[in-house]
Amino acid sequence: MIKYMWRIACAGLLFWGLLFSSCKDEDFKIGGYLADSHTTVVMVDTVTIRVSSLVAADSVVTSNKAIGFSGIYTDPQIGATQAQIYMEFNRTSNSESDRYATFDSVTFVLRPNGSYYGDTVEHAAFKISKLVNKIEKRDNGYLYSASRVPGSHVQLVDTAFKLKVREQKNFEVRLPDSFGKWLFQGILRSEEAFNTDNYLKTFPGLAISAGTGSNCVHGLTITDSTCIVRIHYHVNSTDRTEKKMNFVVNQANSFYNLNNDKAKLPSCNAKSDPIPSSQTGNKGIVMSGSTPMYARLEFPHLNQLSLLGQIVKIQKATLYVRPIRHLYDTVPLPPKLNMYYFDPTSNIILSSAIKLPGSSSTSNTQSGNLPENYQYIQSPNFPQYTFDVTDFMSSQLGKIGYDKWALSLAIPDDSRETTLQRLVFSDQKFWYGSDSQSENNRIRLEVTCVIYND
Amino acid sequence: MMIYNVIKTVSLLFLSVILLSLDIQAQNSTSSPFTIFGIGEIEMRDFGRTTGMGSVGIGFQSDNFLNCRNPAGLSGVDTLRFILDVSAAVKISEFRTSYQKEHTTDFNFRSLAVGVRLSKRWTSSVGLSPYSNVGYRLSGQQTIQGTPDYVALNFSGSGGVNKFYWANAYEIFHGLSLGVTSSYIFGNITHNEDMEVFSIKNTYNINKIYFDFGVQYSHWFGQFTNVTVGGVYGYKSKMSIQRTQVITSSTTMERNERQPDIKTYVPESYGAGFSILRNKKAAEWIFAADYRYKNWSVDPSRHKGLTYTDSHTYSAGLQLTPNKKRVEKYIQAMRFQLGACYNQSYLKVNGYQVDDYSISAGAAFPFRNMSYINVAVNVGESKTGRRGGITERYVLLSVNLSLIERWFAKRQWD
Repeated sequence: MIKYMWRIACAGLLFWGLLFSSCKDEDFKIGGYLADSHTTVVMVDTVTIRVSSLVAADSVVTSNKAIGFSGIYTDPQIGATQAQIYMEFNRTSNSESDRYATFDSVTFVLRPNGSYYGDTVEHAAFKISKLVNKIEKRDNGYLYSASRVPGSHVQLVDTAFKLKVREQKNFEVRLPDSFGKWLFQGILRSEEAFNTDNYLKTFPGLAISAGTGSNCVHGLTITDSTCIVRIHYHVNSTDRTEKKMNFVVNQANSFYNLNNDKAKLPSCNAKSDPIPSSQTGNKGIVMSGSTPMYARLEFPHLNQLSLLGQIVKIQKATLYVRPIRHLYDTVPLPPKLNMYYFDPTSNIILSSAIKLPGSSSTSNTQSGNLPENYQYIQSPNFPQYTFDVTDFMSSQLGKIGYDKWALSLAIPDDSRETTLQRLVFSDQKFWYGSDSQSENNRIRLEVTCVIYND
Repeated sequence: MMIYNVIKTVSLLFLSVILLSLDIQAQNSTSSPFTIFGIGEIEMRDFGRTTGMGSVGIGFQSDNFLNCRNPAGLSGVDTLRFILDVSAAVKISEFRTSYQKEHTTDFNFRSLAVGVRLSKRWTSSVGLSPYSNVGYRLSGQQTIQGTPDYVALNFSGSGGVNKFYWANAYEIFHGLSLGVTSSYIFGNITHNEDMEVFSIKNTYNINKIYFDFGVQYSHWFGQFTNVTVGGVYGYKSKMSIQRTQVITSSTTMERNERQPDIKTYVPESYGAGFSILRNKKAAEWIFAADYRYKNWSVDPSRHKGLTYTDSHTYSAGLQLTPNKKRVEKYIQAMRFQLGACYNQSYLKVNGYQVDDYSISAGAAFPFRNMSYINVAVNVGESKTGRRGGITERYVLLSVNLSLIERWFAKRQWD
């Protein structure tokens, strides 16, 4: 036993080492100044951003959307936008006898949906007309922003009033009594012209369009609780009983027409051709509505960052999109802006989560939000949309040819067809004139690069 | 029977050397931030028999001491003895500056050696011990140029250099010995620099064979007093360190290639020492002192703010054995040691040299007739002298197992 003790002792020492191990505090910070890094980190804000704007579509489906737009506004950046709504109303059933019901008045119930495009300081001006022809859908069952109902419609009223757009409450516009009596009597007396088969030929519907002096396009909610032709009447019996006869809108057969003449934009050969910002006064334009516009951002000289050192990596990249001051005084800024990836080979904007070229992980589209009360932000500060483009710039560094992608800015999907929003932002050369802060109010890309040199 | 013993012993030693080498590579022996420079913290101590005496040895010899400080000192090993030494140590350190404090614990095996007198005049020893140690983890910041912001950086290093040596002593005539140590130093040192998008790893591979020499003269004055003096010398020798660099970003391997070798030197070194042994009644007193010098300043530094400078080590120690001859109590056979050491290291950081001061105490516990367990405690402080600079206070506990067997004795009875 003694003979082997020393061997056991050796083995014991060896195994003792396996049980113990070195340890140190996880956050050991002393001595950081001794280290001499081989890297430098710089923030570059001079990467060229090529801005252009595109008109994406000419016409969109506007039937059965539960909203409509009416009015006219001439946007100095884009051109004149004109809109009108065409509505069909359901026949109401009659339960009154002719002897006791007396017509009082007829009103048109409407509700603003909070969206507007233009000057809301002045009165909202609407013209309400009776259609002379039925609303006929296309073969595919839809109606579009370019669709119209032909005929010389009979004007009922051309009125202007103060509209509280943001309150989004029902309001009533009085229509001529003659129109109301015609409807009332027809239903009350069960006239043949107002029976089920002939009702729509007799009363095809109403149109709302821009009234005299209109300087704003208003959004209205078109549903059976917010868009109603209402006849007020009373019944003479022992007591006077006030009653109503409602003709509610048929949402499925209602649509709006909207077009923009793009008179302020340069003419282009094809609708999908991007318009460089140099042709739009060093501006990029994003818009929703029936003629939506997207902005495209390209980074043609991004690869020059690779010349900064032997190995260059992007640690962080942030894009700041800045609206041009004073251009959102009458037209509110979109509260949210979406950033998408644009693939030049497919020529479409990719809106869902995708893999960028050379990247193994999935990148999502993202939104940039405006701060609330942005209207009160004073110079030298400014409202801006902020996007983290680190993944995109990292994947794009070193790419050439068809692997060079671009970014697209657009109104978010859920707002694109239900609001009229417009953003005009500056490119890197926009000049504010006498405003000394103009350089700080341009689109800006900040790229933090880590550079290694031997 | 003898050959069988030799074969078994050599086999077990070979296995121990392999495992020890692997274990030394795996563990850190230090956490000092200064090991970011050069080849790390040069190992001052031998963790053997004289650790409690300030690790003296140039002018010291003993019949049960495998002297790795001066190869000529092996001549003191008694005939018929086979010695196996194995050591381990744990170091508990506190690092502090004016406003920060951190604690670390490091454990590692430190050495393994065997020695035997092969003839009347020739004694030989082979061993494995650390030459230098690297182990640090630092946090820093890199300013983003053009902004007031910064990014976090992490630096870490590990590894070290070990020495496998074969020392030989030859007694020219009674009392005077010459020695030569053939050493093979080898190891890997890894330095890492990590940030969010980058990771840089430099691995340095060191391989070098070199020789150093020693002389010792030991003389008895009467029956009770012995004086031994010694000297060592190592010549300057060129050394190439191979470097491999791997750079990875978050998604890609950017670089994985061999870089140009680093040309450096094993520095010229010399040292001198003496010891005085006095037997008074039954007790034995020993006083020993050493001085060692290494010419590191010939090596140009590649770091900003760092220069290499010559290192000087001064050490002294005292040992008492209460009763070497007639032991009635166990404690009388023990050895008790005290020592002190002052080392001016080879690093000068921003003009301030790193100095180390330590005192030591130890005890040897005999067992199995000739073997010992040597336990020593070193308490010390290492600092630059710069105001607000880093100070390391440490306690180093080492254990050395010195197994001694009687070999080559002829049987009197069959």
